[in-house]
Amino acid sequence: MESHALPAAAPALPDIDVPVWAWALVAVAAVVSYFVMLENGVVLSHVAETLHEFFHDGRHFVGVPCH
Amino acid sequence: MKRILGVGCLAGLAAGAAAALFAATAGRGPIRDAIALEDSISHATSGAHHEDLFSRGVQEIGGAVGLVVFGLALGVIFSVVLAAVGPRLNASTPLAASLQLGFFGFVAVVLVPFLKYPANPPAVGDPGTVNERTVLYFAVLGLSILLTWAVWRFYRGVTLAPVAKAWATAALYTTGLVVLFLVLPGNPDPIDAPADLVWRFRLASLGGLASAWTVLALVTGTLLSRPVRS
Repeated sequence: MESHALPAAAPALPDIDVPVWAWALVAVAAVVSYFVMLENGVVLSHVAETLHEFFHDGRHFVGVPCH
Repeated sequence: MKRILGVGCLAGLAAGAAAALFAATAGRGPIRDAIALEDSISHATSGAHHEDLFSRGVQEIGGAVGLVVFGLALGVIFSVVLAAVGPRLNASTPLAASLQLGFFGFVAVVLVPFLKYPANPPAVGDPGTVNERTVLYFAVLGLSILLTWAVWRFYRGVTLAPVAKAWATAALYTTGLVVLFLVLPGNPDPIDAPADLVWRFRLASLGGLASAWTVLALVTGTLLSRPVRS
């Protein structure tokens, strides 16, 4: 007999082992955030200024230090 | 894993869009006022008008693009951390787990750094101290995340009655915060801009980040709550 089940309950979060590539992606994401938000010329000296000025408003808005 | 990561990317883009929308409305006025002030100061002191690399309009678009890219990166990090710690949180549904992580993430990554080194609008900031301020900002961010992780480990590891455990955890976190705030030096820059302008900007910034984290946690939790089609 088919039971009148409620709409399927939300599945619990599966307890999975997070693969290494996912952590690698986290590192990539952190580096991307760094370039968008914090690069003040420590790593890229010249391109940085262009990047910095382009993202300028966003950087201030997120609250990272700026010149 | 791929599903949760996909969800994180979508939620991150939505969070970035929310922040960009907030910046375009609440953040626009204070930033424009601050830049006008900055220009009037540099006019008065050097007499020269410095050439801007990008116009105001382009910077506003660039700022929005930056916030969306930042949101995407945040979404990736959030979803991987959720996959790693979610099953061990005290939450029965993905939505509850996501909201919990979103709350603690916001406090650790945004609120604590903000309380120590609040966001400043364009007119504030001495170019000579920018590297020092960047290091300090990373220090408070890293230490805040480390403290949250350590307190969470304590909470999970210690065997105490529930009420005692809650008090002990709160006491440990508070002590950690006090030490953190005392050990790190203050912002080296003087703030010459009017307090009213500075605080309008700070509140817009904090509000934008709060809305971004809310959207991030809500969208992640909602998408993960849909039944998995097999």
